[in-house]
Amino acid sequence: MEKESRVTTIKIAACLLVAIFAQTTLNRLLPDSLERWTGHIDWLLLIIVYACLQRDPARALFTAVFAGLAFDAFSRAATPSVAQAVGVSGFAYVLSAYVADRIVSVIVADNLLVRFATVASASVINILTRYIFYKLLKFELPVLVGGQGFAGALIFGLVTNLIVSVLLYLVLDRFFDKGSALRVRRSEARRIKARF
Amino acid sequence: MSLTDKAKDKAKKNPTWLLGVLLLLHLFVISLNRVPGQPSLRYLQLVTMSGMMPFQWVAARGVGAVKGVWNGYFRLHDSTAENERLKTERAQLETKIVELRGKAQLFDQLNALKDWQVVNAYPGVTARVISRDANQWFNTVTIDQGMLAGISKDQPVVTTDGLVGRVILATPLASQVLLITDERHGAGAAVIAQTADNRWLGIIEGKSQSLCAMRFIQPPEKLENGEQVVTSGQDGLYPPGLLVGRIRSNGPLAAPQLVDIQPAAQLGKLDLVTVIQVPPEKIRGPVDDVVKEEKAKQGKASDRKKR
Repeated sequence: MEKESRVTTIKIAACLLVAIFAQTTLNRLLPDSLERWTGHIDWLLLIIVYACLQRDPARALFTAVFAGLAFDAFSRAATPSVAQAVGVSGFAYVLSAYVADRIVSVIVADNLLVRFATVASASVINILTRYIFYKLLKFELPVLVGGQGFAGALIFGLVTNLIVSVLLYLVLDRFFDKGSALRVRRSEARRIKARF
Repeated sequence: MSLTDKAKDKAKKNPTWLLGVLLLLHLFVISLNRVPGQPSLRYLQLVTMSGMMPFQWVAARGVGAVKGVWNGYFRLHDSTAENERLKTERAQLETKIVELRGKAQLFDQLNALKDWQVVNAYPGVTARVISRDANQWFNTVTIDQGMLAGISKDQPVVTTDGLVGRVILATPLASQVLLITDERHGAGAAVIAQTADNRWLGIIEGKSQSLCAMRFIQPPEKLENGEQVVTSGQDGLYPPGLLVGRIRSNGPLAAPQLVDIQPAAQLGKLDLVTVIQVPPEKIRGPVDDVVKEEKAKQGKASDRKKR
């Protein structure tokens, strides 16, 4: 059990590394027509929500902390002499992870609808929290990719994250071997039911 | 059961207290942003960027190569049909193309020569862009050369098309470049530019992912769409004569306070850039002279008042 948990943590760390690459490099390599959409994908947030779906709140929250640190480190936010906002991403991610975890803990089932609900709520909370903090820190936020303002960023972020999450979570389910984990859980539940 | 196991168990049952602790910690870190010259935040970025740089470099090269092969395949796939179509059009267009190509080449050469007169006056380091800002609300890129290649903070970054931005953080192996389209680019020290034909001075500000804005100190009488904007060298940030971009408007503008500037460099698809190694005193020199002159004038004026 202990070993399994450690393996899951290592896998999440590996996913975070790949997500950082996707967040910082992928867009530059894609054609302009795709960039309009891919610029709004928050790969790190999708990994955090997936960590929440593993039903370990402590691990999910710490994943959010590390994702936030990485996000800020690869952003202008951590550069001295310009305008720092280190911690804002971490704050937004931790809050999003908590809400996603609450949804997952209330709804026991793990299906596409539940995943959609968690990704959607986490995306909205993430973007709103960032926006509020940047406004509080007196950042003048620019018009974003494709010419949208804040409302556009919110809607585009939500839609792209939902679409990408469907495909990404299929890959992650295979990587985390979720199918076999589900089978084990179901057989355990059947055994417990038979005992009573 | 150890203490960490107990804490883990407690966090599993009720994560709210852990959320509270983590949010408070983040608020503390956010408040550190307000402390000027906070070294811990600088080290965080320095270590992370240096550590990740080799992976990003390899990944960017790898994906770039795959992209090249993929694009090449599709170009090859469509080439037969494309060839047939082009053959029929070629006869009609050939004469016109040759004539226009000659004119365009001459124009490009003259333009590039004019821009590069400034750039070639100083040594430069060629670098590859390996990543862009993780946050879509900010406009920075990371390049694969750092302090070891002689890059330092505030050095201008250009492409053959025009100005890209300036170095805001140099680590041993990589550097972070603030693009001219970032809203913070003009903050702190104003980037003063001028139109190429007439000396209308203004301040360049980042506006969006693809545009800048120029706020004129004294509005010009008339401006045309496509007029070139170059650095004036009076801001202490950039040497004079670097092409920033071109004025973007639907028609001629009369006494505009603020105009949109289309950056000359393709900032969305940056690949190779040159970091110009201008000595800081060369850039700061004219500004310091003006400041000294002004101080001297003020000193004389106050002496006269005292007398």
